[in-house]
Amino acid sequence: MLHNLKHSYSGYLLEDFKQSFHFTSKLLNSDLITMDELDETQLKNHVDSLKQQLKFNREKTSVSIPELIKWTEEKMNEDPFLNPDILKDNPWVESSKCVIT
Amino acid sequence: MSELEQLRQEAEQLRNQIRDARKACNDSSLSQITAGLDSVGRIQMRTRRTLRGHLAKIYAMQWATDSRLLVSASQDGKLIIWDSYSTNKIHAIPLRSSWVMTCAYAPSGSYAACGGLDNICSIYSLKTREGNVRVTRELSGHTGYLSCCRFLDDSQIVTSSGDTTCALWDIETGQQTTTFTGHTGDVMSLSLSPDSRTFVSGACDASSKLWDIRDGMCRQSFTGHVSDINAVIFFPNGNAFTTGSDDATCRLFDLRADQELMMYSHDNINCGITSVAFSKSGRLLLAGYDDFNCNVWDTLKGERAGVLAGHDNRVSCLGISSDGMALATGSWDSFLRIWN
Repeated sequence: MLHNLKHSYSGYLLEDFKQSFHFTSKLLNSDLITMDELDETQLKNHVDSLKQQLKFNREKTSVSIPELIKWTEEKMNEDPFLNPDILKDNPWVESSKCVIT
Repeated sequence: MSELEQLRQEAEQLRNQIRDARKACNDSSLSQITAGLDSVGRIQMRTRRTLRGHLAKIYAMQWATDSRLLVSASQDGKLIIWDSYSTNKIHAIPLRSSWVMTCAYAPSGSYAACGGLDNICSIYSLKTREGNVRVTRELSGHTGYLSCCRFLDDSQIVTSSGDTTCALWDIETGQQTTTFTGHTGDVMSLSLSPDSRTFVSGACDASSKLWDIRDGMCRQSFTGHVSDINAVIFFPNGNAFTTGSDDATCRLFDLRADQELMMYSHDNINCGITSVAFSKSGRLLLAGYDDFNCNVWDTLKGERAGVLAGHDNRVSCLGISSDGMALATGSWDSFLRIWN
């Protein structure tokens, strides 16, 4: 597992640890388990999970997409990044001039 | 035929059946339907604040629910709670392990959490009677690094790990209530659904999965990416989610139709995505990249609507406040920026 490598590769960790972990992982190819490497119990669990996933009641995209678009369009008016009126009251921008007291 | 071989064949058959069921539901495409939709135009944002104080790469951040405070974690071994309005540091918390990869802010604002190569999720109480910040729990059990953690509430947190599992923890007892197994590579990121009943995870096996928090089952599993998924985020209405990957693309997955709807990519973009977030309406998708930029995508049309440049190193994390008013980005250049 990758976490065991950290001791050996501690020199690299000071820089780019995630990158080096992934790079090492891809090099060694030992941490990405393929179907061939799953044992019987893991495969049984995988098959059971797939059976459950297959049962999922899928909606047609001709229904789900227009509903997603409708939801988004209705909310765009409240989206500060799309409605400039909302950002007129911007907490990170001073709305009045500086006052020296 | 051995038992193992039978199971492998059965798995392949089931995968094909799922693929066919998805195809049968794929009777329209997002880009076709939105071809006539008005574009969002050019999105430009300015840096409103630069949060200076970390002494090394920032790896993670999360906004507090008040849309004002936020927490960041850095390789300098500190967790900092910032007031993004004033840029003041409310707390600078020294960590037991400086190899931190993730941090989280509890919805109540009373706790923060972090973890990384120590394989532990440490919970910090921010509102002790004495006025100081201290560790209240160390959740250990993962056999790999902690890549992400998200509070459900003050007593429950979900974690993802390099040990390929995710877990739901009871913070009070320090035990795992539920373990989520199924990924075959390091799990890099997770995102809780708006109704807190499910979460999505993204992993180095290039797949993302939707999990039922209560029963631990994987309800749906998605492929498509060709490399590690580094980031996942739910669409604001809970019916979709987006992933960001080392393959230089982001993808939108529809949970109701159980399939990919859109890919966000460009020939000029050849580096990995580290982090993703949606604007309040979901119309904009913000993604942080290894090339130091943040790209703004029109979620519905699949076009790039803007670029946020300003960091001097990789954008490692980003998040949009719950009121949608600001984007915070964190970088390996040790700074956080607040944009809108």
